[in-house]
Amino acid sequence: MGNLEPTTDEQATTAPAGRNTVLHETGRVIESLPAYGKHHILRIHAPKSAAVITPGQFLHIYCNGPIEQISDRVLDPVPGPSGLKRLKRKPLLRRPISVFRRDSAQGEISILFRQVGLGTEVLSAYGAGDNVDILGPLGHGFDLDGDAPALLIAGGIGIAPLTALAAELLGRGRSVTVLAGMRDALSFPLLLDNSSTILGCKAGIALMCEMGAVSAVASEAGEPGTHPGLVTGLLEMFLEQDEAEDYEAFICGPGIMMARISDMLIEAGVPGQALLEERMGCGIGACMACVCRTRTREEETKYSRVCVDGPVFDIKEVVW
Amino acid sequence: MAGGVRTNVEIAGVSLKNPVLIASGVCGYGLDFRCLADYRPEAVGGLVLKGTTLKPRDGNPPVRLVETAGGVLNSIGLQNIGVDALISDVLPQLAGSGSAVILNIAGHEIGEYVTVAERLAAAGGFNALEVNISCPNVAKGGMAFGIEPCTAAEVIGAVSHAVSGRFPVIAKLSPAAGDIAAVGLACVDAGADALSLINTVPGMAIDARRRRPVLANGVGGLSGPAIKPIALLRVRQVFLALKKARKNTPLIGMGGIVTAEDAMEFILAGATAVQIGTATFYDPQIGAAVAEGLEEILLDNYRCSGRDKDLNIRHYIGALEE
Repeated sequence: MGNLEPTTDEQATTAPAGRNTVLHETGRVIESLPAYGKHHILRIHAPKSAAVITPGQFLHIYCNGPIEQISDRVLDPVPGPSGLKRLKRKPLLRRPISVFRRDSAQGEISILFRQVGLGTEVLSAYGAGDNVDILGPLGHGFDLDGDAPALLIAGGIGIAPLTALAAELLGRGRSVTVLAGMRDALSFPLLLDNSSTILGCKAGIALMCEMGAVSAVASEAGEPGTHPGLVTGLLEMFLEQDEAEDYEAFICGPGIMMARISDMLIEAGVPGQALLEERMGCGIGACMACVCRTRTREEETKYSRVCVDGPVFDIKEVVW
Repeated sequence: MAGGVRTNVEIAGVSLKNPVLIASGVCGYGLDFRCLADYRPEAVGGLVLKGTTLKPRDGNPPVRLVETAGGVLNSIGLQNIGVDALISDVLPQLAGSGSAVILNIAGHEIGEYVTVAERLAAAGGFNALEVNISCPNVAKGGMAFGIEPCTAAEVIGAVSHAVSGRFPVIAKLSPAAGDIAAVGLACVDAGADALSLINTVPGMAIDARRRRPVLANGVGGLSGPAIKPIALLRVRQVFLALKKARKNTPLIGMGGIVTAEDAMEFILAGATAVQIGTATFYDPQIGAAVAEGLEEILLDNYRCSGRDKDLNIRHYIGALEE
């Protein structure tokens, strides 16, 4: 806009407008913690990423290395059901993983993930001292400019990025209320008791409560101390309050849950942002694989790239 | 360039500082990579931009991509900004980027290919035109043209006529063709200045639990190391067919290249240059690493043999001993 044309050199090293510079960093695992069920936490020393990543942004992690170090644990032939040897293969693509906690002073990032496939399975086999190949930070994180009280709504592993968000919002002096849904106690890495720990690492809801958030949990299995049913039931009760529309919502969970939650929020006049997930190729906007349907200002729809146009979108923008 | 090593090549009059190109579809319009802190666009021979059609295209619904054993299956469906936006918004930004810019065009009828090629040739600002007659992901995305020699020749002939020598025309061939050598020869006879091969291999992934295809489109194109042996054979077949017909049309080989050794295999099979696609997903700078690795291979060979010609990449093209 009225600036001089950039030179070739500047062009080559300048991120496209509205995008941050993406770093390639080799992090080092400090601690590898199996959590409930198939959940896992990795604490990683990655000072460059830890210094700049914001809640909602993600890291693109190459779950292929260090093969030599993890081969004994994961990649060796293991007996299959029929007694045949089953050889597990190496993942080819990076896996987009959001940040669960960060400590920029210590240069540390924690990720909390559920083993759902090859990539996360290999990642859960990383141990202390292993190197982690990280590309990031990627994507647009949550817009934190508002000052309304925050309503965080999580489904399943969606709790992970919302934990980092809660820390940031509480640090900015905003009040935080968390509504979380889970299938059963084992499907969710949270603890209903604020004082509990998972192998010394406080996770999910417990952590947010400790930081000063108010929480309510729903479980489909009706675990003791939870609201039996879906998180939508909790939201229904929440929205009955007169002051509900003063809140700003932040949601993350399965697509079907976010679709329903968005409808309820929009109908109640509560603004919100949703963190989406999609299978990714490059993670930097080039391959057009990870799209979601969004509305333009003219009420037309188009495919937007989750990796660079998101992963956080206004709930009114997404066509679920 | 170390110790007299020469890796520069020429494709139909376009000089490439090294034979490594980034394939169409993985580098968008060449601008997204600029977000990378240590990006060195000048380290590769060039970029092949996203396949572009006359009008902007929405593409296929997600899921569009899934990892399979040793590969990636995709069905993007040619989502692109259309030729006019390419000319007005993208090409000016790529001027002076330090390596070749090759545009990739697609269409659902010959007239569309011709119009796109005409507009681009008139606009300029690039080095060559790759014609996609092999996209497996759109009902009429070009693959239908690339299966048979006569239809492939029709498209390539029409595009060559439209471009009328202003830019080299590269025909991108499909591994789904029954006789890829015949299709390649027909394209050369119709005016193609170079051939690139192979495009992705049509494939399918199934989610057994849901009893559904993983990709929303059902069918996709397979890429990555899984297809390398298929690609090497196709390059060799086309190279030998051209040689027999006394044509010296250059080939650009691709399919599963991850290392410099992979690239050298394609060159020995008959490729003058190579393209890297899927591997950029896990390492966006892999093109630079492969280009540097090729130099090391040449140097190693020279150290073993003491022959000067082992330092020049051109002496390896098609030099497979059978």
